[in-house]
Amino acid sequence: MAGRPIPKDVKKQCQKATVKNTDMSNEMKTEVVDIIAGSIDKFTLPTGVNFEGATRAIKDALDKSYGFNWHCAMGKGFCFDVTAQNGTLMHCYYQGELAILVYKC
Amino acid sequence: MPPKNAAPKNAAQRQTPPPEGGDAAEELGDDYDMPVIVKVRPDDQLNISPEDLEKEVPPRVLYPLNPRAAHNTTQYSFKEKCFKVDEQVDQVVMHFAMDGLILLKESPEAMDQIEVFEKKEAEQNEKEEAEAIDEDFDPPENEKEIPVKNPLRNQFNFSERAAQSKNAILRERSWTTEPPPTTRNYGTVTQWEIFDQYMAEIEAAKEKEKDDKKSGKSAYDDMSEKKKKSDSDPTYSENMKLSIKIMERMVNQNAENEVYHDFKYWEDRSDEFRDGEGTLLPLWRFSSEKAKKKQVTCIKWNPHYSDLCAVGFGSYDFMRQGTGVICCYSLKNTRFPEYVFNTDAGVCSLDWHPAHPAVLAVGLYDGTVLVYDVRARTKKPIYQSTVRTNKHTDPVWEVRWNNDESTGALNFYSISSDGRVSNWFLLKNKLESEEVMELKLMGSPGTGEEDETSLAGLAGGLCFDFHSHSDHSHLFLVGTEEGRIHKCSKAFSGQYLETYEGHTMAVYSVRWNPFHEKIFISASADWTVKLWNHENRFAILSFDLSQAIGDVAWAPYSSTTFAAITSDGAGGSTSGVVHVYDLSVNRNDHICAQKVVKRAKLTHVAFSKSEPIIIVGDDRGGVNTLKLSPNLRIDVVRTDETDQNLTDMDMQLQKMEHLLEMVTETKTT
Repeated sequence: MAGRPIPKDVKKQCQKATVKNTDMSNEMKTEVVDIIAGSIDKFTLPTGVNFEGATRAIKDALDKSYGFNWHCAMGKGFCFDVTAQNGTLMHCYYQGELAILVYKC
Repeated sequence: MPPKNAAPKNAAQRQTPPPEGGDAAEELGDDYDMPVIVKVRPDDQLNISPEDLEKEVPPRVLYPLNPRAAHNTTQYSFKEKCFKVDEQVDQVVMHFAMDGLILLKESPEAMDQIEVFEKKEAEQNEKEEAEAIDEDFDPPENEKEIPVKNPLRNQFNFSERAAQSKNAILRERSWTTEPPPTTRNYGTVTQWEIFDQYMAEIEAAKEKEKDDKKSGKSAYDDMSEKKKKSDSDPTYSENMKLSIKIMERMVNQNAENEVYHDFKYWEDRSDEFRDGEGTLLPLWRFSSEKAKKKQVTCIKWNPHYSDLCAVGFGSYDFMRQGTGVICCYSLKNTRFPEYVFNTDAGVCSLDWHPAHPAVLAVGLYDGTVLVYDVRARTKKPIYQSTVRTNKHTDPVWEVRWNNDESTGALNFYSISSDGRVSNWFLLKNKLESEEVMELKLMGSPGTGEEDETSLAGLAGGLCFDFHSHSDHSHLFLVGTEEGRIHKCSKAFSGQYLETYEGHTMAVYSVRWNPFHEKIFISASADWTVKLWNHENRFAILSFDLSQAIGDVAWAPYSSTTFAAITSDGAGGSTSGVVHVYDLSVNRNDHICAQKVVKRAKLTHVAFSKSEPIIIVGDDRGGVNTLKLSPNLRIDVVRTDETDQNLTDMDMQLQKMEHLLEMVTETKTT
């Protein structure tokens, strides 16, 4: 990647999940962030994150807890334009370089 | 016969039909005219004479001759019993024979066949008709009417039954709900955006930390937060509290200016004229809202701070027991108590610790003993006795701190109506009790029925007093509900050292004389105050006050002066009277009897150690301060004759001795 390399301590601070944009209620927000972080951690290999497994896990977990028709997209660079039910969209960042989008529709 | 013969014969036989062969074509051209028969002779025909023509030709017969056939057949005939030869052999050879399938229409076989065919057709038609008709329940008459479907079941024993239920009517219904509201969201994810987001968060966190540090807040200190809040508000600062306190006192003192003056300076001049009599000047009355309905159950001056006294409120009434209050009043502020503590049960006794002036031991009506630190912010006792820690089961009538701290821990004694004197140790986090002694009931002397009818159980202790002198410090007196006073030793808990008989009813108060080590005084419900020498079993002096006595107290400045308070006033009206006795002045009667409160009984009295006042509590929750007039305050009378070398203490002792001598004199005389 071009540009200055990110200092290590800053990188360490960026490891946790932060929410970029959401319209969920507070408890739902924290719960969903926990689910996302947990699922990604489960599928983290030394070489990187297994995206398919992680997204599948996130989607299954959300389906089980909040009802069907969840969608989960994960990646390092993408655009999106989705129609989601009110109060079910969450767009968050994790581990400093991953972005996860989940919504229900 | 050779076939040559046959050929001409055939030709001859052919002559008979009209030779229409060659000439027929010409003849037929005549069209439908009667045919004219014209005999035409071909040219090449033989000319035979007409006789020859008429001659009969022998018939020519064609005979087959089978070369392979046998010449003759020979058969044995049983009739003639010989072989018969048959020359006639069949010469016909069959080369091929095939039965034809064609029947002549008129032949009988064809007729049969047609019949069968027709019959089959008829049957088929019948069958078709029969299938279309419903079955009859009656067995069909003709076997031919049976449908050939299940030929195995016979119609007479089996019959098919079928029924059709009503078909439910199906109706279609459908709804559509509105789909949940959706919104469209869009965005982009790129690495730089992620980075920016994280950076922003980190910055915000850093900012927050800086702010926290500035305001001096730490994450775990909630209390200090609250404190800070209070600090920042100047109304609640410590300095303000102090200032307010001083202001309050000043205001009160200003308001009661005259009273303070009296307290300090006023002496009753009339005492000079009245010899042997004194008066009590009422100064203040402490009362508190919380304690209005309660009775004063004990009063104690603080040993260190001479203006502070602790007053315990409770109830002596067995039926009406409520909560208790402890109020610490200061003379500097007479309107409001300095400290107020609430207790679950009525307070029965108090004592200040002689060395630690903020520690207060309290005994309650329900048997609990508490230890308070009055300086503590919380209003809870620092120690409390519970059922597990062996608390008393009856009201704790008296508590007293132990002066010598040989054990290291602070300890105090308590006495209760359950007959136990306990010593309580203040350990690190609990209160330990040690039983000093049990007050055994003594049968009345002289009765021989002690063994059978003596009362089981323990005597109820109402009061005790420890000896203040060092050589007798192990001695203490106990007054019981039965009227006996026992002298006991701390070291020896099994038995009483001495029993003093005299009172007939419950002894409410026993007090050692502060100067004379052998004298003590006791007040009882039998209306008497008795003076004792602990070496004698019987009282030295007895004063009948003709009213029930609540309390008695020695004056700290004189060995012969004491005050007693009565619960009921004389003459039936209930009002509290304070009696002051000075035995050096008047041996038999009081030198002052003053009504202090109207319509209230007095319950306790305490002399102030440094000031010339006494404080009296009544059953209305009020505490009255009274100033002693000079006549009541005679400590030592130094005349010109007295020895200057004698100390005050010696003088006091002398006074007492003198008194005792006089008493014994009168007794003996």
